[in-house]
Amino acid sequence: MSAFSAPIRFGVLSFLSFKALSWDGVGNYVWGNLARPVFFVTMFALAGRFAGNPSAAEAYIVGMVASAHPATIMGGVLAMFTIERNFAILPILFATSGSRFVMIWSRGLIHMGSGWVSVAVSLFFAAVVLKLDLSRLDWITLLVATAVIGFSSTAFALCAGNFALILRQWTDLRTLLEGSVVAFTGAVIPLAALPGAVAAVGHVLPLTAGLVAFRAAFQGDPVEAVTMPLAQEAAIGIVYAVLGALLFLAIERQAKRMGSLDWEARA
Amino acid sequence: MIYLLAIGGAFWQQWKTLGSGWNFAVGMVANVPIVAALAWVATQSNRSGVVGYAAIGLFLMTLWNQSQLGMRWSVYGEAYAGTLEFSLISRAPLMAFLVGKALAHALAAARPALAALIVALILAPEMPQVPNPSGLAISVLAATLGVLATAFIFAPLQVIAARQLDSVLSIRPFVIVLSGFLYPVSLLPAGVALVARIFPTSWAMDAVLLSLQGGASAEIIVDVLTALGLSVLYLLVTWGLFQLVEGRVRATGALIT
Repeated sequence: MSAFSAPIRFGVLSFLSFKALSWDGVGNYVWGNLARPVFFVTMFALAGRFAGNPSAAEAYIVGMVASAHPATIMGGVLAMFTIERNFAILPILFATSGSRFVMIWSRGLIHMGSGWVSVAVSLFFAAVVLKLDLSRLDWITLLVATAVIGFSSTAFALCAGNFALILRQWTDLRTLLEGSVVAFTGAVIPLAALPGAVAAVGHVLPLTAGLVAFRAAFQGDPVEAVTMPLAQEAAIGIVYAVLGALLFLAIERQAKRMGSLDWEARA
Repeated sequence: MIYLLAIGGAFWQQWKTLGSGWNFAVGMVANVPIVAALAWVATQSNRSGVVGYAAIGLFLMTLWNQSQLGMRWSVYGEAYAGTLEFSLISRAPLMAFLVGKALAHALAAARPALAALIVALILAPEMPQVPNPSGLAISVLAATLGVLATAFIFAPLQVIAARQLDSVLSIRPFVIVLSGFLYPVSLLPAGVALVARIFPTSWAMDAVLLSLQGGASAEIIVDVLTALGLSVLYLLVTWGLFQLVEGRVRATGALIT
């Protein structure tokens, strides 16, 4: 067995998982992953301009472009977990002896890539249509920040996906989490303007630290200047990756013991 | 009478799934963060009427969002679970049955919508001034009718088009961007603003802004009447679409294509 066989098998597993559980045609992909974030960016940009604050509107645009990443991944991953739950695929997975960590991350890999595409399309739209100033942009910092935010957002979505396994309604959960990464991370409201407890919530969400680096890229800061926030963002991702795996194992153990995934039915 | 029974029965059946439990708890708070972010943007303004406009717009946006979303997924869920067929056995038309479900979703959506309104008002530095209260009242009523009419048209579309239009139907921000909930549609580029005028809420929200800024009553009435006319048009189109759906469903037996 070559050294490449494990990554290749992981890639194939990721592709097949995405194809079976998430792919619903080119149209759905374009609308859900590309157009939707663009509408959110537009919504905040116009709301900011209506408020009569063009410079603030520019900050909202950058924040919303960055938040396209967790928003896209969240929607894809939560829907995927819901399909696994509703169409009874999960019990088959529970019966296998494969690595749960590999299984969970195979659900997130392609969505992480979709998140990068969402950010790229939102940024292009913001620059061309909303006239976002890119003159000082440091592309390397932007790429590194986007990569790290992608990792932490995927880990967070995979962790949150566990709740889509045990609750009947996933769309409200998605709205709540998407809204949280917009409202509590500094994407729109500066953290300093949030009450202490709410800002504390923001600090444990993905994007908060990464957004500092993302915004710095638009000021032309090199990647060396933002290593600390990038490291914080990566650390948040690692914590959610571990927490997500532990939650999944706990749900699996409980489901096997109770013979049911549905926590609401037991309530 | 049988129609009323069908509407009442469908309403009650749907309401029971929306009234309590985790769904209720998560549903109540789900929109609070995004509402807070949008309300905060409005509070950064010194212009008169912006905060009040945003508070009312956020109420209506949440009402539309939750009503439309709930309606879509309940039809989907029941079609896949095979429970929709039992309702179709009755002699009541499909529209009566889905009106009942839509009303339940709208009533359920009013709860998080009120939560959104309260959050927006809490974040406001001061209570918005209303120079024309009666104008505001009829504007909000017209906007609410517009919200319900534009949400309900998605029910037959969901059954007719289902997967083919799924992506378009799922783009709630598309409608929200064009509905004028968060800013007057005149801020949109000219061509896009023209498209936005097909939504009754774009007219009703103009009336809301005029009421908050002390605009002329005549202008408010024109906007309100236009919004009401468009809402009636939407309901008529919805009725026509339901005739198509009813015919197709009973002929082919296919609820969701």
